[in-house]
Amino acid sequence: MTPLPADRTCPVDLDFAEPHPAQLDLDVIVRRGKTIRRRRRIAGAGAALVACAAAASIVVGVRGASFRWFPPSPPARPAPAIPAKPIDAQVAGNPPVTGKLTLLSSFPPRWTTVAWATRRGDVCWASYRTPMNGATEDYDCPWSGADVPGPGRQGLSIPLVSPFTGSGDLPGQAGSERVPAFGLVSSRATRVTLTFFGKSFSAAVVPVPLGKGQTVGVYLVWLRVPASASGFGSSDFSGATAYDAAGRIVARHGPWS
Amino acid sequence: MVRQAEKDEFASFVAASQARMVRLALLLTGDRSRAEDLAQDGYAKAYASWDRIRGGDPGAYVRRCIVNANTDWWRRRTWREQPRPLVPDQPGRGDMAGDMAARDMVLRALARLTRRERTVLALRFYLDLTEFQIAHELGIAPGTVKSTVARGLSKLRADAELRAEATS
Repeated sequence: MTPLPADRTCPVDLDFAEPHPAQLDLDVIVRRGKTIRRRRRIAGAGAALVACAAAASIVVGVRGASFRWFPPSPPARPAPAIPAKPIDAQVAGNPPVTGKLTLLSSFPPRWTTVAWATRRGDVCWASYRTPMNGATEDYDCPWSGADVPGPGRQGLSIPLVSPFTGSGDLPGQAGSERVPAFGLVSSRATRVTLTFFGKSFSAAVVPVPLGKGQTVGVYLVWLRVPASASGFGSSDFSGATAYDAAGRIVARHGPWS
Repeated sequence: MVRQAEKDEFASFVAASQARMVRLALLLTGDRSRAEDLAQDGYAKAYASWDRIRGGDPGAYVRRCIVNANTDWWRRRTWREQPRPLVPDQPGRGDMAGDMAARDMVLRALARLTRRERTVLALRFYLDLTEFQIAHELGIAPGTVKSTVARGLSKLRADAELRAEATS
């Protein structure tokens, strides 16, 4: 633990004695874990349809294109006998505020990454492979509405680095591992540059609708982890800079140490 | 065989880490049964992703699941409860009475903090994460962590019950 000045020590002992030691039920945990796995696989299979919808954008090279997933509001009429498939469990549990997902990246080949803002104000991303080939999708809803850059708030979130499930699909892995980093940025930004293990990596910013005509910039930067690194994490970033279309700096963070 | 080996490895991980994870969840929630639910959920998600996380830091994965699930629970509440003593003020009898009283007093003091203050203090002073690590983990600015730590500590120092206990 980093030594703290006396006035920054905790006045209570959080490592207090516990009269009843924790004893979790491993069988229950494993059963629930298997259920989650099964749901993810089912959801991943259904994600193929979404990938088809995204394919048009990929073919014409349009990043930031959006495609409809759910209607913006529930339909007044009864649901059709055969419901629209797939319903990714994560997306279904966090419905997009506009009913649409925004294409964030179509790299590596056969993988699609989308982002969306939920009706609760969170911002989420999801990656999936088509066809699945045993891979499950990755997803996370790491940002709440309070993390969205805006007046009086930071203009650029701290990048969140995520291990990539489909590393076998990544080209040029020899000698270094590629990992994605996600983050939010002011909607004025068009490009973000991250410094990771001392090297710079850039990506375009994709505007994601927040509803009511507002957007937030979301970025996905593919990083390279040096072969010499024994691990990686957010602490390996030393800076992040966001630029607008004219090349002016919109926001800058770091260096972090 | 592979599945059994995977389960054994996972079981060892749970056995080695559950005390800290349940304690973290207890510090966040102040409620033992809810803490066990949160930890159990975190471990279930870890099991579902075990192939992917086993080579990295599965403890960090479970920790993040616990923190996020607690945040989600707070967000999803449609009502707000007032902080209240989580356990009876009167300690029980027996040899464990002193420990129980100290534990309950800490939990009551934490219950008087905001959710973010509790989370940051638990990560900082129970799990010994640095302010930068906490910032990265929670996706907030290091300055926010620093000010939240300072505010939380200040509230704990001013806590009347803790002060009374310290002077008794």
